[in-house]
Amino acid sequence: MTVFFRQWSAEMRKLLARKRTLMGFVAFLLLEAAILVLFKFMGGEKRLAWFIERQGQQFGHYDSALTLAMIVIGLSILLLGSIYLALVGGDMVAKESEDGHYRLLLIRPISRLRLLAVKYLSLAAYTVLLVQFICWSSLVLGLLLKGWGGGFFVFMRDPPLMEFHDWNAGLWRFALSTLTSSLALLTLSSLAFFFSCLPIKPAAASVAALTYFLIDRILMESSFMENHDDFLLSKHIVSWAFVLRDPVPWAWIGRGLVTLMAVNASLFVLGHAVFANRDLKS
Amino acid sequence: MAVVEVESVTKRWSTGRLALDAVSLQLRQGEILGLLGHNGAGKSTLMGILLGMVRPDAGSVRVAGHCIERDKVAALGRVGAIYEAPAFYDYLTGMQNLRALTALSGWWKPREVERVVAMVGLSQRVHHRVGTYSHGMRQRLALAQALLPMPKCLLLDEPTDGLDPEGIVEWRELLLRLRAEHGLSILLNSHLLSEVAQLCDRCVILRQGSKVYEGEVRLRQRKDHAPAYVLRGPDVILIRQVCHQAACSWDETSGVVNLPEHLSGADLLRRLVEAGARIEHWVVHQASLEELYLSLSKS
Repeated sequence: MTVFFRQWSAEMRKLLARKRTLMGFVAFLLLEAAILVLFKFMGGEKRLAWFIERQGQQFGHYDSALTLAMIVIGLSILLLGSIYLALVGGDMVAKESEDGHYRLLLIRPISRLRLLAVKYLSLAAYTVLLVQFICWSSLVLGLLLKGWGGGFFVFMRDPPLMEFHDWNAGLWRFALSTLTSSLALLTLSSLAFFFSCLPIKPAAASVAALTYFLIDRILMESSFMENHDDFLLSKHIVSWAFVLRDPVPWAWIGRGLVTLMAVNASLFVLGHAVFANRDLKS
Repeated sequence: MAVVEVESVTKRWSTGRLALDAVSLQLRQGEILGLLGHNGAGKSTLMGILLGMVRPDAGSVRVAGHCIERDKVAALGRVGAIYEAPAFYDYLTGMQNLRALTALSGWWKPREVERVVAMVGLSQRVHHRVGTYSHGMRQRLALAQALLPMPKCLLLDEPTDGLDPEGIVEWRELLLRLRAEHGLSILLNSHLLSEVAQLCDRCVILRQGSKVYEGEVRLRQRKDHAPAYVLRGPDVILIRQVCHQAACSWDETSGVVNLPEHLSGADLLRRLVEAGARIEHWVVHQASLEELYLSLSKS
């Protein structure tokens, strides 16, 4: 276990030492700030006020850091988060192969399975870290603008969701949602990781993962898959947001997340099956 | 005892090209074995198979007594290697690279690392980013990673490729010192004949995926070749005549005279003396590795 931890921490250090990784965090901060500015000056705040008041609630109470943070998170992950995770996941195995690093890594006494496990766990940790960063930095920006306290208003089209929470309950739901969204988004990373195990370029792996998700999303919207949506990843991915619903449908969330974990495990096994049988020679 | 045993290894690429054809060899304890061959002869493929990077279609490879395909971790436990051009992480320092690589062996001893870094002459730059290293420094770092933790066997794939002459001499001395001090067994894949001739005890020559020679590097008279001598003297015309009459071939430039099977060196010498030829130099010809290599290539 100590050896595995040493291998994993070395992989994490390698991942976090890359300039591209750190630039990603800065890019997200800038994006979040930009979303807040646009929300304020492009009429987003007015529309939110109109919407909340239409539900018979006071906008002043729900115009809070938590409400703003959830809007920023949704847009950040939609605009950049998924692309960034697909890029990092796609790089994980294929970039090392392209750069010839396996000529150094695999001449050590380590099996391909273990090396992939170390890489996958690092990717999982990175996904959680990135999503946590997006969530909590959005909240910090929200706190800087709106201060502590107020209510928590959540509105989503998919899954259909409209909830009003008090500050304490809202903060608790928000914290829970950061965890469930990290787990849900791990599936996107896993898909990119799987494609990365194939003998293709890293960019191709990232594009393949994003394309799969886009098609999956389009199918989710189409009536053609109405009775078969259990086969679509999007349906299970959105289950992260149900922790914001009152009462929390734990069974639904559990089913969705377990399905995603099973998909992740399957993708890892398939990726290994391909990678283990590849000849690694320039 | 053999540290590395290769038995009838065959590899055919997906393109259909035969990379290795039933190649067998042994690396014995404490010896330096050279692996020679032209570009595309299969040397790097064989190294890849020894390191578990390439999967053979047939045959078996045992390293330190363990099958590389079934138990790679045990097989490479005490093996250090340089495989093809080592690609380090340019954005990490030399030391961070060493740390990341040795972590895969589950090993990290700072003092030992510093000792090896000093041994390969990289102490001054090991804390700088690898992106700023010259080719020679990368090769030194490659050797450092191969020596951490100290292995019992080194598998080196063209380690002096691109090094300057001083660098090559330093490498040679270092490898000989490592063998003397630690009893390392070394398999050296190189296309530099002089390097193999100076470093290795034995060599294997590959040609188009097949082994065409395995034996001593410091060649004496080969049994499968006619005897040869080096003959020099001022009476060139006379010597040429006598050699012609005795059905010998004499190369005036190198002085090498190849004798036919029915003629001994003493017979030819007697004929030359009887003809009145003055002889300045007469020794048994010791074939060089280059000659052997070229003769095998031509055949």
